[in-house]
Amino acid sequence: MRKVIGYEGTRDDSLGVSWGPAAIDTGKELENGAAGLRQPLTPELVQSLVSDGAITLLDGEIEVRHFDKDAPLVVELSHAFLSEIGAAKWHTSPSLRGRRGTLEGESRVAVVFADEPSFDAYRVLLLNRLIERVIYERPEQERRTKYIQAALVLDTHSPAANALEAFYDEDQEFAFEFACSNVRGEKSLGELNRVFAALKAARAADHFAPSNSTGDSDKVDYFVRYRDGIASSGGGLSIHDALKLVRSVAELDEFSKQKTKGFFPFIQEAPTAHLQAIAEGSAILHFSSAVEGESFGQRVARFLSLSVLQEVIEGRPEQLEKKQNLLEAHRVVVKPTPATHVQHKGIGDPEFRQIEADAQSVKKDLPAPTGPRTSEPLVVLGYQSGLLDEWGKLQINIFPGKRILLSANESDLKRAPDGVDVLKSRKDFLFRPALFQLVRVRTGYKRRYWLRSVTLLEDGAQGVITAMPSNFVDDAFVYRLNMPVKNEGGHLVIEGIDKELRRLVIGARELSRAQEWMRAYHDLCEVYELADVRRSRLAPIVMPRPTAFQRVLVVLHEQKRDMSPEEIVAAVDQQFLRDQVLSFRPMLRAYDKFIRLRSGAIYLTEDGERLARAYLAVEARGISARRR
Amino acid sequence: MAQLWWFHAFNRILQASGTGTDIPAVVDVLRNGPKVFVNPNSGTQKAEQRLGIRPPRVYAYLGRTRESFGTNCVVLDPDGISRGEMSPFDTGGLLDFIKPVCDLPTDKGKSSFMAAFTFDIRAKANELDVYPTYDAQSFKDYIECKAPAQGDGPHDRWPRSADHELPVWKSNADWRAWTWEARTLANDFAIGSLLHWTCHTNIYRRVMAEARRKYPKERVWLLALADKYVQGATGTLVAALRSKQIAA
Repeated sequence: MRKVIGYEGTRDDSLGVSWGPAAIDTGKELENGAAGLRQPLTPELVQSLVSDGAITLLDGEIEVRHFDKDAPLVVELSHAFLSEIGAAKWHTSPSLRGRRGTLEGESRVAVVFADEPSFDAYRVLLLNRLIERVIYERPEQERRTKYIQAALVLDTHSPAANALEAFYDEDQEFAFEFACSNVRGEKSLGELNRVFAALKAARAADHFAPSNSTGDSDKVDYFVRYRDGIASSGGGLSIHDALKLVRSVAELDEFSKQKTKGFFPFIQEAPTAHLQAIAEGSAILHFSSAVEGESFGQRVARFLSLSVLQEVIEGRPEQLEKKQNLLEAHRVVVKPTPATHVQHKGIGDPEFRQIEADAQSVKKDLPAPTGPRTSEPLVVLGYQSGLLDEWGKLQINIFPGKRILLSANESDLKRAPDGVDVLKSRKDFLFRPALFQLVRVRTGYKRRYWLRSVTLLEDGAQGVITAMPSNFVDDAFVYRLNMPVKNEGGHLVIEGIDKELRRLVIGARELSRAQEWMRAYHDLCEVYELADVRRSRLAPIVMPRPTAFQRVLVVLHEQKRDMSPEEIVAAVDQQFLRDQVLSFRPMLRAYDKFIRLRSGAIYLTEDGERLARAYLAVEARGISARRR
Repeated sequence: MAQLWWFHAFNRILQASGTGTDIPAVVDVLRNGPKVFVNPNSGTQKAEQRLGIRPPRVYAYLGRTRESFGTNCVVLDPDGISRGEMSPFDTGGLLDFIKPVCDLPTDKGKSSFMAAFTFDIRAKANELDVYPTYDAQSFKDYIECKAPAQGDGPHDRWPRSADHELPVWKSNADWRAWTWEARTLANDFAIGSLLHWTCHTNIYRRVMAEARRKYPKERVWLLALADKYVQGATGTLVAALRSKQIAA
């Protein structure tokens, strides 16, 4: 019989939870449960491992049976912690499989699991309980921090726990990037994004009355709009059509609620979708993500549930295809009649967009969905900052804070990108400059980048930068540039295009610090983009909704005069479709380079004028949010 | 083609209390690489004196390590150690438990055995071709800690004088009798080629918080560090990277 006497790692009494590979006494040897490594067992060895913090001894021994495939690990929890979170007896549940033994001590319990997958079931239960406590009870900071940390000890890579940690961090922007680096896989990244957005939306709802459907609620609510067909030309729907639509949405919502609970087990109850209004006397179904009187936790749950309903209406979950009643409900919602045009505006989306109706659920007379559109090749300067997913994905940085994940195995041309083998085999090229040839493939409103080739800018290498990310418009590129770049004796030389973009030389010392040379390059590009956009082109984009600052910028530029805050608010209201609360004081502080105050009025600086021109040039190519 | 990575496990214990992890010191290793602390009373440096290894070295093992060498661990790519020596066994073990070498009557004999099987690390590719060889099964066996299937000891791969024909592989059950060990100077340990690392999950957040406090502007480095973390502890890391090395 083998005995588990401890586990690898150090107990932290302040958290109440620890886990690690089991330290197993085989009779003659000490074995590490995970690594399978053994060494002759002596009292001196155990003593030295304990004093080095390599293992923690349990309060007693747990005899375990030996199974060949076991890689046992131990989780140790304090009774006080388990009672506090209402999980005192969970570890005794017969439904926990793979439990190899338990030791109930006076202050702690230790449970041995056969391996990490067996531990997962119990770990997920505890983790979800901790997250549930944080969002529904909103404990004071000390307890909140303890719960989040305990959740992260249970699973460092948990998307929801990482979202919570980032949400409560003082530097939320960096903390969110850090959270992205802590989770593993694209699915987890999606979950992290969604929970983080839900937390932010729930907090934002503290600051406006949910019954007021204008203002910030626009960003977090969900709308479905009908035109033509069942929507009458004067606006509105017949009561029969409206009833039919609402019944079908209710059916899809029941399905969404089940999915939501499965995706996010920490929510107590997935709320029923709240139809805020059938608005504008026309045919817009407005679903609210915040309902007056709901708690923070309920708002988080509502947001998540609504986001799942949005996905269902988009027809993403595959399960939908297998259930006839859902397919029919989906058809009623997204294509009630062939002549009806249906658009929706998802949570956080700037504009309404066409719903890509599920081909199996709609009639044949629908127009074929638009095919993928591939951009022209964009050669950008950047550096590789990681190799993920078993080296299948390449993470590159092409501007400060702008990272792109690319397949390292395949390009849009169905072959491996040229030159990528070097990045896989030579880790010394992490954070070093390179030219990446990318294409952006847009299908509907989804976009994906593909890498076609990489050129390492080692000593003697040279190439031409043809594109750079826009400084001012998300997801846009300034392209068809002709910016030669070469590495001369360890110095990176970027030739200027004109007087606005003078020659930039980055020394060997700076090249070893990726952030520094990238910042210098970014500053150079910003100057160029601010200077003139006529000679460059911006890759077509769908314009995101303008920020408050961009609205102010446009108004000041078009009015061509100093304006009081009240005048600006009035002009913004008149120009744009939606009202937005404008806070001038923080805006003036944040954008001092572009807008300033004099004699109680706000004016554009020279840089502000240039920026406004650049923005408008982009807007002319995109879909504007302004009144036409 | 499989790859073998260098594993360096380390402890950083708080000097004042003699217990608990010195978090800033762990961050320093992650940022600047390990340093050698001159301490003639440490087990490692006593062993180095007995074997004539000077100056003190930083140690790493190819393909794995163990938690008793340290609860924190960094993993470098195959070229992460560019200079130094390597031997197909754990040199400290020659003094204590690797039979029959540990039973030799003098430290000089043990030191001589070590010297006979010490190679320049720059010739690593050639030496790996000799042992474990680039045969896929041999590589896999090595990563899984199995004793070499052929030969009694290293002399069967690198012919040496009769004094050094000792059946090290056949006489031991511990992988330290047939693991590749690197001995390098701290400056030659290229922490920039870090592939993965671990510390016990309990302290990971504290390590990252300290790194962020100390290097607030090094955001790229901080994010890369988070990307490369393997949760659990040294044992979990070794287990997790077995299949990755085989698949690399």
